Amino acid sequence: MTDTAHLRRDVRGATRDLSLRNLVKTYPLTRDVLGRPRARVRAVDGVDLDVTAGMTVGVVGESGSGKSTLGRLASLLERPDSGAVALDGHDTTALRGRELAEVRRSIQVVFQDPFGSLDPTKTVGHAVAEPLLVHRRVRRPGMLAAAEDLLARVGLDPGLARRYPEQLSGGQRQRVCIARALALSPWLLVADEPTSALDLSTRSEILNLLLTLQQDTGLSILLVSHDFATIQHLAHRVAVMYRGRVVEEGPTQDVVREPLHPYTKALLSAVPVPDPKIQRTRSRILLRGESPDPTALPTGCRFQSRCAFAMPSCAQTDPGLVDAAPGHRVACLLHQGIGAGTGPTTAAPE
Amino acid sequence: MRPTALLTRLGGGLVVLWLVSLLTFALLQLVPGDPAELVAGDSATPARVAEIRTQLGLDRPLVTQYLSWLGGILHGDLGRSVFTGDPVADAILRAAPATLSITFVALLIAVVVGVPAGVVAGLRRGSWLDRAVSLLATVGIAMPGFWVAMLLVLVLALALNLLPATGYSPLGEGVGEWFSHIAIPATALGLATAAELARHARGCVADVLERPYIRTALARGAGSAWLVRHHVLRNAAIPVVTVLGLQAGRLLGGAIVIEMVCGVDGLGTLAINAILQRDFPILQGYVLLSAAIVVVVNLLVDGTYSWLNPKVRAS
Amino acid sequence: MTTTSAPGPVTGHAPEPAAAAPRRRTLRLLLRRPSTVVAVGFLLLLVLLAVLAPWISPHDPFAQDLADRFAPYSADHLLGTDDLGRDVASRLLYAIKLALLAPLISVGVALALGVPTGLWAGLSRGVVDAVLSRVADALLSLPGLAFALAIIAVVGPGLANVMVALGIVFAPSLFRVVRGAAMAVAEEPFIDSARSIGSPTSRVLWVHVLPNVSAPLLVQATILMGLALLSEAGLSFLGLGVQPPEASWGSMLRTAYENQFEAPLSVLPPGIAVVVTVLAFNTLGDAIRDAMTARGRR
Repeated sequence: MTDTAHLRRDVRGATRDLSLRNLVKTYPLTRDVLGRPRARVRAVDGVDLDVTAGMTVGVVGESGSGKSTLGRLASLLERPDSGAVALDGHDTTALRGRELAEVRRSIQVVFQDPFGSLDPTKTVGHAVAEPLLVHRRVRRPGMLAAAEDLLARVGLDPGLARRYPEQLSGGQRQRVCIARALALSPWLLVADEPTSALDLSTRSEILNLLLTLQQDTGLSILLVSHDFATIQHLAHRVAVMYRGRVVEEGPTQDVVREPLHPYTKALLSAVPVPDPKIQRTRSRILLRGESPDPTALPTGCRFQSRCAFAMPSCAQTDPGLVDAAPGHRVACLLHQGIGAGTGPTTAAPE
Repeated sequence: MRPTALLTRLGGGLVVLWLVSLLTFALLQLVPGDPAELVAGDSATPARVAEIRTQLGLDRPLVTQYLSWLGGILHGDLGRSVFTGDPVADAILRAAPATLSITFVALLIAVVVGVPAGVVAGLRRGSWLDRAVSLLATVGIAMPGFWVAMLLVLVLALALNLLPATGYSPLGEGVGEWFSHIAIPATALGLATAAELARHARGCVADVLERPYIRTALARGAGSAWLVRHHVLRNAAIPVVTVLGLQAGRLLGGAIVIEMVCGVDGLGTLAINAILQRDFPILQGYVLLSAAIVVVVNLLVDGTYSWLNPKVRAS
Repeated sequence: MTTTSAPGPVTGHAPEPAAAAPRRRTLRLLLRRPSTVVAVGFLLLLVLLAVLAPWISPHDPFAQDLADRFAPYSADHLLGTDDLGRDVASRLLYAIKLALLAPLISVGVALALGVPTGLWAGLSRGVVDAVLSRVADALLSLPGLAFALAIIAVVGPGLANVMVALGIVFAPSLFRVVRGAAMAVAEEPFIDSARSIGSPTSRVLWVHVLPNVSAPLLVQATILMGLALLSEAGLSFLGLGVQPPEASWGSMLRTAYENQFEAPLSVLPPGIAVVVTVLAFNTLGDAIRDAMTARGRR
């Protein structure tokens, strides 16, 4: 009891870091006649990640890497099977009901689909000010004014408050979602593919809005995306996920300049470079082989079957994350115990 | 249908019937006060009340009561009427032929009138015929069956003297007599179902005609007779059969009031009298039988459905 | 709230010109057909007549005049008199109140039973859903009127009991509609979004799930109104519903039936009243459904 009371005070005051420790989340894949799970997918399989104040952390990976599940765990929408989601050192995984609602105030979510994430029966104003109403920060008569204020913050015409979501464009809706997420002045915004449902020109508008908001208010962002270019644009640090694990993690600049994990290299080689000369001479590292069966992971490294640098030892040892450079960790046997900078020569010319 | 799918359906039907038996059994327990006193009536002596209590088995624990009651039903023993002392099964068997005749003929009339009317309306959408069918169907659904029965009795029986106004004549005593007695109640009962079927058949036919492969066939110059025979009827039959399953319950329920209007001693009359006399065993038997009929009809509909739809048959 | 230096208002993505609120547009879609306007107008007229009955009724609906039984249609007795010499037109007028209240109350009871259970089953799935759905299946396999009779046998005859019994009978079909719709809505991202801002489950259910299942619910409820009136008429005809001297259209049909030799025409007024009112309910239900599908297709 004292524990949560403490936590609640922290939430009201200044929560400054979120740490995910050894998170595991599995989903049933098939069920038998009695509805008991027959096989489970390990969507997130032992992940450690930290988000501190004022920082944008990117989580990147292909579909099925568990990055979205990690986002849902971090935003307390799902409970992990094991592991901890700690706010300022206090685990939240056991919280229920009112206490959970209190903690959720400090972590808000922007969803991928701006068309489905707004209730079609509610006005834009209601959507934006609803968090304030739920947490009794505003009463019904004050909702419209509060909503107009919030809409202005995300660069929308306050007059849209009386409209319904279906009357708005995709970009406008995603701005509405961001305004809704900002209503409770959270310290952390979890954005799961916030731009993938939008057209190209709108994408950069939304990303720039997030960037501006962060620079102005010191908001922290956990940005989940399959697109390294998006992550590069916004994130201070990046975590690369593959099959439920973080395989590389470090400052975005370092990871982009000198990717250590073969998977990271493959992902980065798919990102177009603005200079056509370089773009033309660059070679893409194509991932070979099939993605392994999600229910039966191989022993040893889970990337071995698709890795261009696979060694015999990769079939035996499952590499953990180790520091390869200050603040730059990688889970690959090529870097285990050897130290930084001695990875395989990159296929792409630097 | 694969044997396993069939078994699942049968199992589902049995579960539903078992739940109905629980509900029916609970009926007597839900009556406020002592069921035995209620059944015996206000003027009954304490001895009579005790007798009824033993007769109904009310002095035993609930679970025992239920199990022995259920066991009896499985052996065809539905208990005895507290009013006449006759076995419930006998009373139901006596009343069932009239009701089943009326509902079956009503169903027949509904199919024979409703489906062709709907198909023709669907094939000629927007024509005066379509409008007439749609209007009649809309009005038909809104008419209380017993009111239609009253009108038919007034016109056909009392004014024109074409048909007998009341009563039922068993099939064994001549088809003509039998039919002349059930013609009015069956028509009144079948009207709403005919209207429902016509609406559905019309919608289905119109739907099929909109499908790309039909439009292609028409564009190729396929004749409309060919079209109706090969595509429209088969495709439209599926939802129509489903509607029939849904109508089974409505027909049985509607028969109650219509029997009363037409003076037919059927299941409905039996049920009404059971309520007025607080003869719960009879009422329980009636409810169980009605539910069993609806469940069986729907199982048949499921079977027909898979026979009509090759997609279901193959899977 | 502090205003930050966010980029200026976005004007490049103007929505389609149809600026009317969706709700108003649905209403406009609904009233596009003349038949719907007529149905709504008729139902409103009935409400008006029910309210004004005590003032506009030509006679006291309960006043007997045994010397003037089965009087034919006349200027004084517009629709004649019944077996006790009571004015049929006045009784018909007074019975409008019941013809509207009986469906309203029984559908209200059905909503009160079917909506919370349907929402619960649709959102929780699992064991709760399996049990509730099976019970609903069992109840739906009973012929509606027979089920109502069984309940009336337990609680006894009377208009209030009939309305409650019909409510219980209708509840499973509303349960099914709500459950199915709630299952679909529960998958929508905006439900996650509502949870993520810390809304309690009850708020998610009532504020976000319920309004989004209201369209099919409204259609089903309107259609049940017509069915309720038909069923009430049947039960009152059997003498299980409204008790004398109160009159409902169903009990007036019973009177007409009992005197069909003396006054065959008295079958017509209450019967036509039932048909036209049920027709109005059904027309409205069809119109709502068509408006909803037209909106969904956009």
